[in-house]
Amino acid sequence: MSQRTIIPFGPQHPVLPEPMHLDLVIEDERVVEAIPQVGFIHRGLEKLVTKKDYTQFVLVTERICGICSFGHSLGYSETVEALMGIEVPPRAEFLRVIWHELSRIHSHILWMGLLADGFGYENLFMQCWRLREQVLDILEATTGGRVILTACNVGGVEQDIENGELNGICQTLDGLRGEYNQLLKTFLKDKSVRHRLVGVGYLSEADARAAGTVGPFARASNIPEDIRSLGFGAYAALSGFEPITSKDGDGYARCEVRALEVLQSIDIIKELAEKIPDGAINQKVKGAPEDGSYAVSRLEQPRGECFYFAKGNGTKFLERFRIRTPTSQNIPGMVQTLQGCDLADVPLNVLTIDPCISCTER
Amino acid sequence: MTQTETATEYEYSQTAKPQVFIDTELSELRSKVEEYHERGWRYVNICGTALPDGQVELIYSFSDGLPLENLRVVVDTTTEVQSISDIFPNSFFFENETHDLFGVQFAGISIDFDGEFYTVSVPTPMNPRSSQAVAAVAEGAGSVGAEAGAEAGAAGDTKRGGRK
Repeated sequence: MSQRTIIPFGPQHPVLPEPMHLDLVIEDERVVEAIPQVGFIHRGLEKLVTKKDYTQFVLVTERICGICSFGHSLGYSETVEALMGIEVPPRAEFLRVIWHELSRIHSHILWMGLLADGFGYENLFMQCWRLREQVLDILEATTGGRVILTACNVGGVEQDIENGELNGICQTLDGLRGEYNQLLKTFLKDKSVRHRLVGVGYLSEADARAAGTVGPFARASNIPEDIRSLGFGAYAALSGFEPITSKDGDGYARCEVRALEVLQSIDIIKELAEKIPDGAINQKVKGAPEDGSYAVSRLEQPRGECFYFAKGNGTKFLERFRIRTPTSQNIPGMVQTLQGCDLADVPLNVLTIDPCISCTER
Repeated sequence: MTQTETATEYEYSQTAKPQVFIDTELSELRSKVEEYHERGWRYVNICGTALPDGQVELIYSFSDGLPLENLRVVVDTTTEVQSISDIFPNSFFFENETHDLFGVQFAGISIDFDGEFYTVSVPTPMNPRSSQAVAAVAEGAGSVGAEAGAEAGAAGDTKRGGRK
């Protein structure tokens, strides 16, 4: 009988931009069990909601994560708006979705670059991040910030994007699409890429459902769940939205789903840029959430469904604000994909769920 | 607006975000969770909120696509709450977190970090009103949580994290 050994993985590891630890129980270089541990960067940001009033706290939510920062400010704003019964002007709803989809594009391309780096294709990594710069340039031109945008607030958005500028953004995205399609061919057709991803980290549909996975991780296991398809906000104005899924359930399927979602996001932005109504971009907010009021909200972040909860107490300081991030839902599924895989595939397997530990620990 | 409605009273629409909060007794929590599981619903979240009287309000959320329902249960930090990780395995993550932040005593968690889920220097549970924190201050063993430290004027204990 082979001897079992425990190998520590992380919290510092070349494929991990953020700290997470795994105890890998291995037998003949094959993982038998993986026990996760997070908690190295808990900052207590949810607690800050009792120290900052509800209009200021949106700035804190943006700093929860350095990649999906706009999504968190949007999720927080929507939750407080539900708490206080605030109607957001339609133009603001459209602008929010446009910025949110731009964030998704840059997040997915960033992840694809990290994946390429993970399987040792450095040139592909650099090309991905070069393309991502174009999206960051759009964000900088429209909001002044590349990652922390400060564009969303309770009641609407801070800045408008002129219709002419929106046309310019669509042209930039058309140019990006051409270059991106070339990269896509490498990600989906290249023999060496397929060799590292196909069949690695398989998770069946039943297991994915049982583990409660969300986002591209779930959609790659043929679970067609995407909060955007529920038609919240400006997503209701789309002529149609179908979540991108794959039946394969392996690392390649996760890569394929995210890669195709970039093209889907470009289409969403272009459609909304055509349909965006004129009008106000902000609703003046007065008063405070009622004592004993509750609200929940959900958002499709680049990594999956994000859940927000808020509770009011009659003052300008919320009693409680809670974010349940997609990574915390996906870690049990990730642990399952690690069981039975080769030790050499562990880093890539961890990477394919696109873990975001900053969000998870807040 | 206060949204405490039952599921049947709420009419789902394409654009409205469902706000359903159902008050639940701790004794019937598990049977209701099992009901969601049997209906094929998905576990979404557990959220704790520290109440002024030392109790903790737990909101369990479940979803089935658009419908989203939240069970609201108020527990004491001395009371044992049965884990639901045998029904929804991914809840172990949140039960450990809720223990470390609020001091809720969960029994039977599938992977129990025994109070060391967060690898930080601050002692857990971080809720200064939890029974464990109050007992620690009374014993003069150091404060638990920043607020308790400020209130008691005691220097906070530190401990090195790490899963047992």
